[in-house]
Amino acid sequence: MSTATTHDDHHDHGAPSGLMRWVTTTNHKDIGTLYLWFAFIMLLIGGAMAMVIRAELFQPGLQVVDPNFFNTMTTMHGLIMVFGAIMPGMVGLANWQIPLMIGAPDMALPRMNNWSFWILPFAGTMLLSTLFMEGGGPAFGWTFYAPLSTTFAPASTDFFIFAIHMLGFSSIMGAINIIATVLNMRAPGMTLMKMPLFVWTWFITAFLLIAVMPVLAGAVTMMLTDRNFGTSFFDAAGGGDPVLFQHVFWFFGHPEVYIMILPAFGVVSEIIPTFARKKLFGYSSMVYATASIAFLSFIVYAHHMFTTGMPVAGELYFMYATIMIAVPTAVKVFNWTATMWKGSMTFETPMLWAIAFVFLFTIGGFTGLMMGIAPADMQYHDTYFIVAHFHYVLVTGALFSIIAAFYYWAPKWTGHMVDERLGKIHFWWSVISVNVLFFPQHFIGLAGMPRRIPDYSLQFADWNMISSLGGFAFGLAQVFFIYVIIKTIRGGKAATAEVWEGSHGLEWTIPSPAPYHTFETAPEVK
Amino acid sequence: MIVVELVFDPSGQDCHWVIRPNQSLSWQWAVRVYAFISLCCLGIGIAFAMHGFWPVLPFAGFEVAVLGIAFYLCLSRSQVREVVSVNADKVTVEKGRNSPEEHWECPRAWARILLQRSPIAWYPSRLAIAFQGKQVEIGRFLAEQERCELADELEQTICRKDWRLIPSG
Repeated sequence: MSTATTHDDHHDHGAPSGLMRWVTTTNHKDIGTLYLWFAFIMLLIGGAMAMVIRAELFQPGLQVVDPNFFNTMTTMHGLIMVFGAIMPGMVGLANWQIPLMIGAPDMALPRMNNWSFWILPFAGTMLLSTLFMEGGGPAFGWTFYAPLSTTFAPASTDFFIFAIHMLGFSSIMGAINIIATVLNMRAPGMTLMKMPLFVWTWFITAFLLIAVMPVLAGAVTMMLTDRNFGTSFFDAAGGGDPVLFQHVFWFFGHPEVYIMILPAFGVVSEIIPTFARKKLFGYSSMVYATASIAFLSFIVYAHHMFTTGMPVAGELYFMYATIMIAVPTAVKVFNWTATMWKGSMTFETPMLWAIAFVFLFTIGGFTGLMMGIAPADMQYHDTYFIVAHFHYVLVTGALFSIIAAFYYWAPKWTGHMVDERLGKIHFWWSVISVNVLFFPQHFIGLAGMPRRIPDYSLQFADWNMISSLGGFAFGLAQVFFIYVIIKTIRGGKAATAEVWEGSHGLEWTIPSPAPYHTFETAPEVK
Repeated sequence: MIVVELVFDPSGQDCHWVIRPNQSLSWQWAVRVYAFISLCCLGIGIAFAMHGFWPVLPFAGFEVAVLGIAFYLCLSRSQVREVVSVNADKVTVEKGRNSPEEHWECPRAWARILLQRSPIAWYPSRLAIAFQGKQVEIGRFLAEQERCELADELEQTICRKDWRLIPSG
């Protein structure tokens, strides 16, 4: 036994302030705020790229950008939205809410939390900087299939690879932190089956992240060695196989879709009971359904590859497995509907977004089922039908849930109620324009318009023009959202601790805005 | 969030504060969860390696190692115990995990309780027991309110003139 470390009486406890507060912070609320702002900035950058895409597709022919730059825009738009906007947005919500919801004072590993965030701006900047490099940025699609991303890719691809590595490390550290926090820092009495659904969905998402991120890291590393060190993992000339790249990519890529949507399920499962003034219907089944979806996500990935010429037995297996995902997903949709059934419903802004999520995400789910049918997918594959499908899942699903989460939890974060009138304007503006934007893409996809092309046949002109108009309107709606956010931060009606009449859970027991240090006495969960 | 437990000696002459962080995961369950995640990650890595994509495996191994370190750090921190013992003559502070690893003591009559608040409100205060210009910090992992409450309790106990007034049991 040694003598305890002692130190002199007088010393300074100066703490950083101003900009350095944000650089050195280990507070989960600060880091959550940083994540959310980063995600929003990337959403606007990725959105600007979408505007370029829609401007070019406004009319047939080439009028705004050259084809290579168009492909760069589709690639960067996808990468930035997936890795820069949706994922960090969800992590931001997790940082803010998970400790509050489980009664923990902070995340389990606060310094690692700081590091996971501060990798992101550098990775994002590196990814964006490829646009200004010789040969242009990556133009091979967000799926970076070999050999487009190896043999035929521009020099900037190596920077893209490094950026993906950094983004992956950030995600892994975030996931480890969430698992450690949820497992080890729950308030006394909060058993796993008493955790809020948002915590459950993020907990399962963190498992998914940990399982698939090494696969992504391995895939981009193999790209790097194929490009620069003479290996032939994906080069048929050297004994490799480019189709195997797709197996590696989609083993990561399909669970990645669930990484983006499972926390969205959690958000909606928090909002709907609050405004229906009922407990969530079928809590346990929601937990098991989430776990089932996560498990199934590993064994269905090859439905993205039906057209690569896999054996019929393989197509049959992946088709049935894919369609099986509809079962736990339907459990969720029915549970949300049952929660609303005979509830004392009110339609504040967060509830409107949540209902829109349920309705529009279900459309995305149904079109997913259509494409899960292997023979039908031969027609839909790589058309605008798939573009419409995944935008219904990721925009009206994941993005809508993040926006809903802002309207729901912003009073707790800022201490101010969001202006309901502005929130509703933002909602109706977005929900109408997003359907004008994406619904016609089903029609042009079914009619055979391929994705990732800057020019198209005249028969697709009308719907493309309508889709572009919807796109511009949806983009403007998100600019309006900046005003709503800033107005809420700067002032507004003071929020109570409870905020919403039907709210329940530990986060609503602390004052609004949430104090910098919460749960100074251990809450008891009964 | 922590648990501060006040234990009186049966004789009524000593009292001890046992300070420990909150922990909702046992070592046993941590090992099970870690084994499950490692099995999944390394299984995926090995499966890809068997198909020729060996670069997945080192990343999986690295990740499993980082996860193990993270679990170890969290659980080790949760095992920290600080025992502050006060009797008529002296104040003793012992710190350690499974057994006392650090020991510090001073005469009760000369001990002082220092609660140093940070000039910035959102940074935590620091609680220490001081004697002759030296001090030992306690309850670093405590939340703010509990640290203040502990400081009050220690102050009242250590500065008590009639030691026999402490209730027993």
